Amino acid sequence: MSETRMPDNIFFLADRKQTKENRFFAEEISAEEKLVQDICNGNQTAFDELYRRFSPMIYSIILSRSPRDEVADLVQEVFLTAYQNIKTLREPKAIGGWLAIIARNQAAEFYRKSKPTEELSEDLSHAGSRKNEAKEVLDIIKSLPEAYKETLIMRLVEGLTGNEIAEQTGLTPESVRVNLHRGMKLLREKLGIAGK
Amino acid sequence: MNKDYLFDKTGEDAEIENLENLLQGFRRKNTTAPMLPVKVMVFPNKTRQKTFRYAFAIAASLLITFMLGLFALNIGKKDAQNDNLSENNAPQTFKSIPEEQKTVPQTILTAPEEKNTAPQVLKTVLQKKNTTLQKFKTALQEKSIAPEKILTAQNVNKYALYKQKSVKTIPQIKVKTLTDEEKFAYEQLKLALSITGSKLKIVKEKIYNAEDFNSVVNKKTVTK
Repeated sequence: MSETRMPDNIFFLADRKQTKENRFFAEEISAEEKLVQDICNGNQTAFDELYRRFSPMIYSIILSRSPRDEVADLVQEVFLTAYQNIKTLREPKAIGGWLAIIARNQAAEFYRKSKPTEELSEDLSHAGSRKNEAKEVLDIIKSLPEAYKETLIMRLVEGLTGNEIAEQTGLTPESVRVNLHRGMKLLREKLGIAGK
Repeated sequence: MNKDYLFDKTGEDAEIENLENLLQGFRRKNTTAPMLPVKVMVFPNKTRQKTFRYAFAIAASLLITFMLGLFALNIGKKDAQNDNLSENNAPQTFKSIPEEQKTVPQTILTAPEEKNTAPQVLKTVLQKKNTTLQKFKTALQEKSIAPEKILTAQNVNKYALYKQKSVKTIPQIKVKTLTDEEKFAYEQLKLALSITGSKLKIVKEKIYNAEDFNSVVNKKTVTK
């Protein structure tokens, strides 16, 4: 028979809530909010830290949506736009998701502004080489649905783990796991590889 | 132990490792963050703006209500002042009318017969008015009133109109029709009053007689 343990304090729910709130505030002040505050004050080191933490994710998002040659410039533009609008960020904890939205908008804006062009292969003479094979694989990944292509590029190109992807994008680890496995299944089908 | 290389890089998966190696060339090169501008824009706090807006709205509404209240009070005061002025200064206005305007326009009375299209009734009314005015004038002169205080027919009419407007009509009290009981009570009261009146009369007569008698007696004693 399982023992039901009664709380000593009848206001245990209130206490629990209070401790949860305290923990929440402590975390918020310690990490993201401090970073955002420092960036607002024009601290370059804080901005470097932001760039170091979130540039792989931003790079992956932009790579999945725009030509490779433009990715570096677009990443820089994303961070500059983020800096200009950082005061509009209400919840510092959601900075990852906020940056991801900026990156997606920036990629969409790039396509809206630029004329349609055909990207040439970097080395036409080495047809069938490893680089071209890699490009083909990347193109196939880019053709996958949005949720899958971003997570797959983060994982396969940038080498981030599922937990790191979840932390940066603001998604739950479970949904990242699902996206990775479903995306990988689709990629296998398209590449003609017999999976597990 | 469940190993998931795709998710957390635990265990082994040759296929994924091969893909990782293949796509390694697209990996981001180590670049530095863009340099921040020296001056940082400081944006005003939105919550403060909101509170200021609310405070401003409340203050404005209070001010408007205050102004409206003052306006209403002023109107009330003006009305009261106008009433007082009209009651006090009415004769003064009539006094200050110039002499030329104090006469009845002769054109109406002396108009030629052929041009005078007014009906005969109007003519007679005007003549009557003129005669009453003459009478009034003579009466005033007899009472040695200054000529400037004499009112003309026009002014008399104006004054009458003014009085009609200014004098407040007293509300008439409606007399209730009496019931039978009330009528009976009323009759009884009248009877009682008449009885008491007659009694008082008798008493009064007795007192006067007594006074007369006493006076006679006193006179007699004095003569003795």
